Amino acid sequence: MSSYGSLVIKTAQFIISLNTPYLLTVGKNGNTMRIFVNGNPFATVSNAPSIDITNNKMFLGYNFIGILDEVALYSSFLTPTKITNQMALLLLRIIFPFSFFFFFHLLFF
Amino acid sequence: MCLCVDGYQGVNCQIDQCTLNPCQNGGFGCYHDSGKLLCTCPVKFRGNLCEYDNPFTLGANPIAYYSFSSKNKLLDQTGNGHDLAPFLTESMDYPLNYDQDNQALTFFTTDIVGTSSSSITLGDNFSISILFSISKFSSITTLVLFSPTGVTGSKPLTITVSYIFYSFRS
Repeated sequence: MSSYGSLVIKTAQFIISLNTPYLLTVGKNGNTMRIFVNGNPFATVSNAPSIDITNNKMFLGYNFIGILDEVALYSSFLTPTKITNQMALLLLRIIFPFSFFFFFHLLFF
Repeated sequence: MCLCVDGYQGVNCQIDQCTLNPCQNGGFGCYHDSGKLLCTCPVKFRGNLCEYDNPFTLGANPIAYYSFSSKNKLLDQTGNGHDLAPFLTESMDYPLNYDQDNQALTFFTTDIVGTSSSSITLGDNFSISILFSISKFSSITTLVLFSPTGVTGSKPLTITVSYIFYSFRS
């Protein structure tokens, strides 16, 4: 991964289990980025740099062995209410239990 | 009277349940997979038979939406299903054309989103929702990586999950 990013601007820790679905939502609102895990606010990044992902190649699942079930991109900052609603609907079909220390990293060149 | 496998019914199991139009909410393309009936759903709906609302499109319209729920199908924001030659879907253990060296599934946004020559553009206000599970630990796992092509001074976003080995001494 060293060729893909060199600056870690935020590390957020939570507990994760293998073979367990998680909903991760990352939103950017101006210079603020927020991370939600399973619909719950988890971390906030202030002074997040501008991100240019125009005309980009998108990769999914680098060093990933598991299931990427859904990926959705929005051109707006989802409100916490909408994220909570997403999670509520997912809970109707999917069980989200939580064990192992993991970190979410947002990396920038 | 016969005991039918899932997906078939009738005295002689002669009725393919796909012929009974089980897809709901505008779903189409019923097919059998591991004893299940599966449909390709409009982007607003989800489930094997498109029977419930899609949380990812309810109240917020994604500019791009990738669903790997339907085997070998990918749904874009138009709700159209695309055959996914380079991808596998539900289980990504070692899918077709899997990049073994990089352990990655890659695609170009312009290939998928179907907005002619334009690609996904996200400014300072955007959101990314990812539903995932990990079946084998890797020291650093990238969920999504946007890698720029020919854009100077840009900062692509990488979303990763990593963990730390803990050792304990008595």
